[in-house]
Amino acid sequence: MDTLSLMGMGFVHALSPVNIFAMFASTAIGVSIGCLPGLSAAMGVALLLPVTFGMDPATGLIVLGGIYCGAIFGGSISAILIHTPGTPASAATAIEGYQMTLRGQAAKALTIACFASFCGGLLSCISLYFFSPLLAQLAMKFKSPEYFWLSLFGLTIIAGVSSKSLLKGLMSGILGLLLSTIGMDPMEGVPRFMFGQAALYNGIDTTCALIGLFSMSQILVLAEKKIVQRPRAAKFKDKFDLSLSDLRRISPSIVRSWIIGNIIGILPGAGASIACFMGYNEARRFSKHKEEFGKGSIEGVAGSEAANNAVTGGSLIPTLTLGIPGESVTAVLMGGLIIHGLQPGPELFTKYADMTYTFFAGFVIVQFLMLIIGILGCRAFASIARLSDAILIPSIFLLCVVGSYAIHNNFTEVVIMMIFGVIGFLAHKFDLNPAAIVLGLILGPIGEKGLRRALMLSDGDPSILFSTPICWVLIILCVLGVLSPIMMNRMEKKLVAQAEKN
Amino acid sequence: MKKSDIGVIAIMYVICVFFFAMTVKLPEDAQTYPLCLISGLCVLNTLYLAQCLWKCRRAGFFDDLPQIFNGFLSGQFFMVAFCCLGYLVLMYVAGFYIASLVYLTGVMALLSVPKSHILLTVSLLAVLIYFVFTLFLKVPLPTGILFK
Repeated sequence: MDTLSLMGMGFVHALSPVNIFAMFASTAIGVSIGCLPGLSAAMGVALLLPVTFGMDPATGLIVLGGIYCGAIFGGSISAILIHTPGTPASAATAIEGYQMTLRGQAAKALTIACFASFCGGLLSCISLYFFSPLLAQLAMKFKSPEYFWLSLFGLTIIAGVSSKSLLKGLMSGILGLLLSTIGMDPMEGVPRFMFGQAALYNGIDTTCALIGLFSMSQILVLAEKKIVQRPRAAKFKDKFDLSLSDLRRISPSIVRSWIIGNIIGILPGAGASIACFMGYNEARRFSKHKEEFGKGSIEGVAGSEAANNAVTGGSLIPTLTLGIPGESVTAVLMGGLIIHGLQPGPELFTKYADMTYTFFAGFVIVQFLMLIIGILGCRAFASIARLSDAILIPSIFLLCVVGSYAIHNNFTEVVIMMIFGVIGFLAHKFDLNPAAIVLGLILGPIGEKGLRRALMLSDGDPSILFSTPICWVLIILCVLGVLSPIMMNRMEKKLVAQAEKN
Repeated sequence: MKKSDIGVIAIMYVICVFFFAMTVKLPEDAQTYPLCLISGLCVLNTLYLAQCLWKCRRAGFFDDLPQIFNGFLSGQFFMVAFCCLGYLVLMYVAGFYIASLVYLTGVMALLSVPKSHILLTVSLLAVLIYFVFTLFLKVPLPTGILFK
């Protein structure tokens, strides 16, 4: 079937009543999670992962995509109304958005944030449609040695991304790889590090680890701090509308931010938090109303929001085609993909093309729903943003327990989830990288099989790992992966400083 | 060098030793891959130790634990952790729904949530879990040894 037919069929499947309901609910949940300061998009996706078990894989992925996009947008609501970004991706939005709120333009700021997020997200779907199949074709040339280097590349990239120390990030990744060896040896068939637990026969369940590292750990983080009442959101004094002149003013910023967000998203290692500042800075640089920046500029809000949502589609490209998630949310999404029995790579565009294009179509529709939900539900989400941590702590724990129990209907998974929760909490405290641990767990079996199969084919000769040009490209990428965080950190610091100065 | 770094480095070495001790008990062919990972972790940890010592020479040693645990409310933290563990025990004995009811009410009351909010949260979560997990996903949630 050609690509156009697949795209068309994708929309037909995605527009089924069940999928529309799933998209609507997941986007609303995502926005709610995003607007709650302290809760992240990764946490939301991990927490809701078990709910997708009973769904068709395409619907399940659409749900996860809805939560992802919704949460990234949701962060802007609390950023604009209470000057507290719900997610780091909305940090730049808080600068101009809150100034607009102080000037009595809260509704206008939210409308612009919503419209810019919609445009950024929608335009990012274009690159998702066009670049994914191309990259997947490249992945078809990969054999065992290449898969080994690919998993190593994925790990070096994520290890450096969200860690303050590159060495700590790499140690977290190797720790994840080590934990992935728990269970039956795939080649020799001997039990490894199972501590006499039959439940560990198939290794550590990724979903448990995800829920523990991203959701359970968050409960512990919330529980250690004094529970304070969040400030009441400002009352809306203006209307939710966007004039034609406003639209003309923000359009160039949106287009620029879309390009920035897309490139940042495709580049493994960068994320929405960097994109929002880059989008904001570029909006300021090209603005004809520079004097408005810092006092509530609509271009600033649009630039930041379009960029962070443009990351969503872009970041899915390396995740789906090569299995290299660029940030923690996409690492969790990739975990969801694997849980549904799908392996990132060329097969998603051949054997499972129907499902993949349904997911893509769902991703497009989610952007429209985000626009509707965002504008109509702003007042309600503003109230949700005030939800006390005292309510969130037990509620999230309950969902963590029931979610991990639902995997195999036993308590062992709940215990594993709690252990990973403690690991996640300690990782948070001591600057280790939970996303790298998860990616180590996910990529471990792929890398191990790649390495051991390659060595088996070459009778133990390691030169097979350096035998093809693709291997060398991946080795160079691994080196760049190690070096990129240093450059990214410098760039982020510079951008934040520049944004604060302005 | 920070005090917390010493803890991280020590824990990483303990993990290496622990996994190494178990790896040597495996058949020879099954040892290779875990040994590669353990060596990798050990090398990175040693590099990190060297980096910390280098920093220590330049900037000295300081205790960052008060900074890391700034605002840490031990009473509240351990109370929540204890309630979470108690919830699991109670679930094993009395089943999911009863344990959840007790846990949610108890923790929220201890965290001074108003009664009306407790009632609303418990009702909403009960309905949500019943529809999603019991009806939709058909998960046989624990009934507890008391009701078996």
